[in-house]
Amino acid sequence: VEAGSEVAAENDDHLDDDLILRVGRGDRDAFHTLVERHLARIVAFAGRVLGDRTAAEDVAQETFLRLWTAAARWRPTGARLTSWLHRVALNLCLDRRARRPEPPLDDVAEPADPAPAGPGIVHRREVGEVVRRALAGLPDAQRIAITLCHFQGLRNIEAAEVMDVSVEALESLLARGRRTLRERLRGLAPALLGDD
Amino acid sequence: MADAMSQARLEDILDAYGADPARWPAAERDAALALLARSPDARARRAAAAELDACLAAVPDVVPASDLGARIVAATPARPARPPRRAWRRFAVLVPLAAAAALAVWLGRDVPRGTGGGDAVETAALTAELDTLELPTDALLDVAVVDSLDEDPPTFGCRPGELGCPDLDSADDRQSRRFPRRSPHA
Repeated sequence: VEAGSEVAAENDDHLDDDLILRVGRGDRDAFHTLVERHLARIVAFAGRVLGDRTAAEDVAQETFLRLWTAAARWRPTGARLTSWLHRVALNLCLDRRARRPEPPLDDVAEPADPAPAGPGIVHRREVGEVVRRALAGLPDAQRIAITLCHFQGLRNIEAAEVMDVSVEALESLLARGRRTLRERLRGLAPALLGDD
Repeated sequence: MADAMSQARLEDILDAYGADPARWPAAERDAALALLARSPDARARRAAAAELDACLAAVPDVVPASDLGARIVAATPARPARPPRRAWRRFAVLVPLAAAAALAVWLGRDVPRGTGGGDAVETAALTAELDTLELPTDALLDVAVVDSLDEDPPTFGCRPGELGCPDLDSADDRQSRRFPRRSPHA
């Protein structure tokens, strides 16, 4: 993470803190702003954990409802809202998974993507689908670790906090998950890199 | 100058975080880049990690419905639930006033009529609201008074940084200080 992006992240945190304080006073406009700032990221996270867009949207809605309810107790002491949202969303995802058996991979809903498909895009989509299935086949903890660090862009300490594991344990989960993916996806990458 | 990094540690980092230095632990980034600059083996390892990164980049995001945000806002209750501490705060203001009034009654009960009797009636009414307090000083032992002195929520059972829990880390360098026991590499 470059210094500039760290400064930008810190400014984002301060903006989140201000918005949460307003939400705590019942400011619905501030809540709407917070939702718009974080919704796509939380849906994407829950979608990768659950493999289902509708379920991901349900989890996101419940996550933000909890934020609305708890905002009056927020104290700007350095906790990042993004970490808190990911932690709540992850708990909701795991609760959901515990209540309902995981659907077979073939039943996992396709992500919405209305973009027109040229030849290169079709190829990329096909590869993306293969990779998505490979990810879905990983043990939960490894997939969640990769999702938090690679796709969600959380720092290692933040991801470890969300998963309630040590940084060393997180690194081990990441390494094992990526090693498995590398084995399963061997041969795909050169074609992908040629696309770019 | 960054401390020298071993090839094994660089491989651990590449295995866990991939080829992009932006994803590496900040405290080790400079040392890792220095090793990459002088080691062809390290560069080959990084290229292999970049191949997997490219595969992962091909996975599309799950995109929410365009109206989901508006639906979430519309589905929330009119006001967020207020925490119980607010009620304690209001009570905490009343208790010392009532205690002072009760103390005045206690001290003045042998005073002859005509020296502030009206005030005594008023403060007696206030004291009646605190029907469990037999002596004026009992108010100082009341749980509400003790609780109201502590503005911070209890730390027991809280995780650092969790909503509503105090976070001792308010310094700039959160990455290195939030979990000092857990993060020798962070």
